[in-house]
Amino acid sequence: MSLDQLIYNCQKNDTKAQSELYELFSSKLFSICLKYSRNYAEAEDNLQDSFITIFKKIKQYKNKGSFEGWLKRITINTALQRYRKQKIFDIVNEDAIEDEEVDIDENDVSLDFLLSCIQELPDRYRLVFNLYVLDGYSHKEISEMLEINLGTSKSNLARARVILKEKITTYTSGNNSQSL
Amino acid sequence: MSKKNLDRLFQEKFKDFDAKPNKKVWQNIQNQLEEEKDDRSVFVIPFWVKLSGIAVSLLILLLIGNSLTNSEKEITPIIVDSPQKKEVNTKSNLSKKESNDETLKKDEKIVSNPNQNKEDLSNKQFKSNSNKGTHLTASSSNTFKNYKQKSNSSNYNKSASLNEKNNKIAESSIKENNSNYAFNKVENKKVINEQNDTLNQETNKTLAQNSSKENEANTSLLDTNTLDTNTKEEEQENAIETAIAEAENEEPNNEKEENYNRWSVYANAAPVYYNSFGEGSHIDEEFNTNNKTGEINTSYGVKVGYALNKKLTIRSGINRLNLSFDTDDVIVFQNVSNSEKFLRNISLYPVNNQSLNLMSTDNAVLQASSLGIQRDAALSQRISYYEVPLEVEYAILDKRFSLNIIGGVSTFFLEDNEVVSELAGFKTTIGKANNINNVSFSTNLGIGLYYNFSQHIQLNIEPTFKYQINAYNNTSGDFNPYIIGLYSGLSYKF
Repeated sequence: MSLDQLIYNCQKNDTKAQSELYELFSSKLFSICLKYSRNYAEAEDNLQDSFITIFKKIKQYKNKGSFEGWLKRITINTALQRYRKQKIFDIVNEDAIEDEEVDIDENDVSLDFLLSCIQELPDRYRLVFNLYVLDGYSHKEISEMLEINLGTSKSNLARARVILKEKITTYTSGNNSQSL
Repeated sequence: MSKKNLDRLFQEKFKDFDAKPNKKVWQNIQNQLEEEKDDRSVFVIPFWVKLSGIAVSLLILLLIGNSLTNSEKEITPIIVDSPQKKEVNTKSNLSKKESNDETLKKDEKIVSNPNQNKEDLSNKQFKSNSNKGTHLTASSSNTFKNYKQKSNSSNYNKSASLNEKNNKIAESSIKENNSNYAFNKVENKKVINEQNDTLNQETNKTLAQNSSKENEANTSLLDTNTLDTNTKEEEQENAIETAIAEAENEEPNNEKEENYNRWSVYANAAPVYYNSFGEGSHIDEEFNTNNKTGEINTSYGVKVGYALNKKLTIRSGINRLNLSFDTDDVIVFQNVSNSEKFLRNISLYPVNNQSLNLMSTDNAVLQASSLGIQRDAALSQRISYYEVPLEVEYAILDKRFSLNIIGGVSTFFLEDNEVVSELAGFKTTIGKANNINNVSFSTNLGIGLYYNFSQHIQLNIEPTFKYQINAYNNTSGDFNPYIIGLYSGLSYKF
């Protein structure tokens, strides 16, 4: 069954097609949920909500643009809806450090560790970091999606980077000291 | 170990990041989808229900629109109520004035005592106050001026007598007078001024220096006192006014709560009796003296009423009305001669290819030889109308059983008329009257006896008399038709 056929069947509320669609995309979308959520459980909740929205709105999908892109947007939006309301007091730091560099051996840090680093970030730092670094949104887009200032988006990103760097540095130095 | 850009580190690591979710997530999704499907299936509504729903909602909108326009009308009673408010206010004012008079009299006694040996200055003042007190109007600026004058006069007394007791009494009397100062009249002020002026001129120089300090202290005390009493009075007044306002606000609310159903639909049917006043015939003068009997027929229809207020309802509708009216003792016969007599207001049909004629039995002797006579036939004039009444209904008694007077006019649109000869139960249509107007009117007067089964359902019985105007052209003699109907039916109010 082609993707178009699958989408068509899903639009007809075909249960089997829905199941197939889930099988095809759940892993990809769950990875997004994991990045944008605080923890595994909330990631599961977000995935569930995302798929419900997808099946409800699939009739509105008019084969314009990539279907996967459409699914990702819904998933990201679901996460944003959950977390963007939770405002944090941010100290706007306009002297944002654009390029944070870390001393690291790529093999030293696992994906799971990096994921946990992201998840531990304050909600908005996490959202901005994910949107900007991992999903390629511009600060302008982010400011609109999160209903924040452009400057706030930039400073949130900078703060996220600083926190992440600290975490990675302490982690790797800990590993190194252990190995010594 | 190498330096690495943080962003690139994350981007590369997460490039192919896939995470298979737990199976229970899909189960949850499935359950939620099914729940929503079930919910939706409950709300599957057949198209006719939707259509009727639209119709009903339109009707409701219409009614809401109506009730909104009605509620605009309902505002008027609130305005009408305002005279009552004024009455209450003036009453409260009057009572205040009365109490003031009493205090004034009291003051008079107290003040007059210490001043007995002196010029009766303060007495005069207070007398004039008490005499005119009822006509006074309150003014805060007057009060302050009066205080100073009063304190001046009291100081005069004080210094002249040099009696400390007197001083105390005078002070206390002034304090008690405070509440009355507000009602001092400008005229009084003038009198006092004049008196004060003369007194002041004599004593001012010597007294002023001695008592100026005391004066200041006194006036300041008095001022504060007046302020207190004034504010208290104002507060009381305000409290009374707000209480009145609240009480009045509640009344229209109550009226709204007792809101009644303005619209009513009334299906009715009635036996109607049709006859005429006067001796005459609508057919021909041939039958003027014949016996005429009204017959009982039926009327049925629908009326819609709209209550302008609780007492007055205006209503209209449409009724189908059948009437019949007999002219007795008529001979129907075949025309044999060419010299047939044409009756004025009736066109007769040929029956069995034989042209007919009519005559009164009174004149039968002349026609004795004629053939095919139907003797003692009754000539039945049958008319059917569509009646459109426009009536006003006024409630005399409005309880579970209500009594109403109904007045109005009806317009009758002629639907059909025929003349039937009736003989021994044998009825033949023999023609039609040609003098019945297509449109005629009546004036209606009736009594409405209603019984309310519930807020919405009502049983109506309405004996009604209708006097017809210009029903016929060219009637012979006095022919004034009327209709008596006993209209009854059920009405639904909403």
